Amino acid sequence: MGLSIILLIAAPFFILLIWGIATSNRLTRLRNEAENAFASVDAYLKKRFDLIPNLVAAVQQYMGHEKSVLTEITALRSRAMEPGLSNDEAIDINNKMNSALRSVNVAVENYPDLKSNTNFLQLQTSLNEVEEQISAARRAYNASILAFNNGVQLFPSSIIASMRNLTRKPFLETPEAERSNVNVKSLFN
Amino acid sequence: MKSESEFRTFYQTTLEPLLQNLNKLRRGTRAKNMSITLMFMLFLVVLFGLGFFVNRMIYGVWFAESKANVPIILSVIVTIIAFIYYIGTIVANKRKFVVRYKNEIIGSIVRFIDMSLIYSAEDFIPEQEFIASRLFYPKPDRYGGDDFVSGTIDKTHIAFSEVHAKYKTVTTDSNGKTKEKWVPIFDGMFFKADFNKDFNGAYFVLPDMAEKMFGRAGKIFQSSRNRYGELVRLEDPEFEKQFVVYGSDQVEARYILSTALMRRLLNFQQRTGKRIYISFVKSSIFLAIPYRKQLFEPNYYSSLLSEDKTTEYFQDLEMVVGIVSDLNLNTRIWSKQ
Repeated sequence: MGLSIILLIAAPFFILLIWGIATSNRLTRLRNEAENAFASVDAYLKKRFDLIPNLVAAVQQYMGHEKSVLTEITALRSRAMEPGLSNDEAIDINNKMNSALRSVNVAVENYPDLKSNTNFLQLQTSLNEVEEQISAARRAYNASILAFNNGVQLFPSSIIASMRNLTRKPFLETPEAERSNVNVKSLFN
Repeated sequence: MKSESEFRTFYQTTLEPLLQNLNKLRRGTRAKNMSITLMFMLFLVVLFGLGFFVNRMIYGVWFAESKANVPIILSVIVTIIAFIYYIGTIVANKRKFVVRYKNEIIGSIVRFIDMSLIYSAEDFIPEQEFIASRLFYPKPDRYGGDDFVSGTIDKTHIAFSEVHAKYKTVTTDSNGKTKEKWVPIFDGMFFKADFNKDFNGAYFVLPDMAEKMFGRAGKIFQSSRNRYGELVRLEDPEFEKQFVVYGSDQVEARYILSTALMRRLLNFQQRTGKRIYISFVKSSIFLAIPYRKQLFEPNYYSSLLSEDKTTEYFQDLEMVVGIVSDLNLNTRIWSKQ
């Protein structure tokens, strides 16, 4: 008699405990998945930075007036190669690289020889591809962040999240410059 | 892309004269088949008349109940052989008409849409390609099709045909009797094209029944992993409402299904109003559109001179060929050329 009453009282706590452990594990898994997703963004960023020296080499003999852009690109690359960069710093360098590469692409329009150079064209397609992969990785990362943030903020798993001090993570936003449409007119000036 | 008004002109200048000729052939074929039928009946009357006559000469009666009636048995055997021959001839005549119709009319429409396309009335997408798409299970036991179109549109190689795939199930009832049943796997248009990006995994975009019926709550019916791979949740809510995506890698799935391609697929689906099954395997895109009717079959029993019918064929073909431009497959700015 006494035992069954104890069991009856203990059962809900036991179920609650099981649920708590399961939820906590789920949040950990979501966090790990998000970190793993960032690793693939990082891998594609590195892949792009590896292409930069080739691009600079291919372009610099043609471009006289745009030396400053090329110097900026080289500087950005060496910063990106420094060890111990935080995620935010890596993303920041990447955004600057995006706008620098865009100005290279615009400048290329002034050099017909360069535009027909097969070596350069090949590089351009590789860069396009890496950019598409970076964008894919960023979207995958954001999807995993969404799952994690839902876990952290939605009731009842939010209780466990606050007990474990888990807070929502920021999305990887597309920089303002990339979101605005390409200004076609500027390409022809 | 050809417009419908261009097609109307093409119908008047090219198709109509062809159809007039074919209509003559159709009437001629029907008349021929009719006279073959009459001759066959006459033959049967003569055959059995002779049979009974000889029977009477041998046994003294038209039909001897306890005897072998050899002449009549012979007549029956000859009838069976003649019947097979008769059906074969009728079907072959009709087939000849259908093939000529398809080669002339469907072939012309295909070339009208794009000069580089080749049409073959009796070929179809090979079974290996159908299996390679991994869209449908199980492996077909019976596979066929017709109306094969292939060619290269700008840089993209395409091929499509009507496909019929079935598998066999054998059930045993309580008496131990086994029964064969043919279950359809897929009937409709099957399309394959070279995709404009390279990738390693396999990805599937399937109609989302659960979310269409239950809205957002339908998400709970989507399993996070099945034989197609891992569930990939994409950010476009409208796309997610129509389709569910599975694949081997989350990042590569998004590399293929860029935000632009998702929009294009959605527009294609909404414009055609068809249920579509898509897979991306080995740098190719496969698209399957189920149809209930047989495609591109001429009407044997009434006049062929119908602009509506040919316009319908044109629209169906144009829709499939148009996938290349609809999905922007000729954009080759990535390393795959």
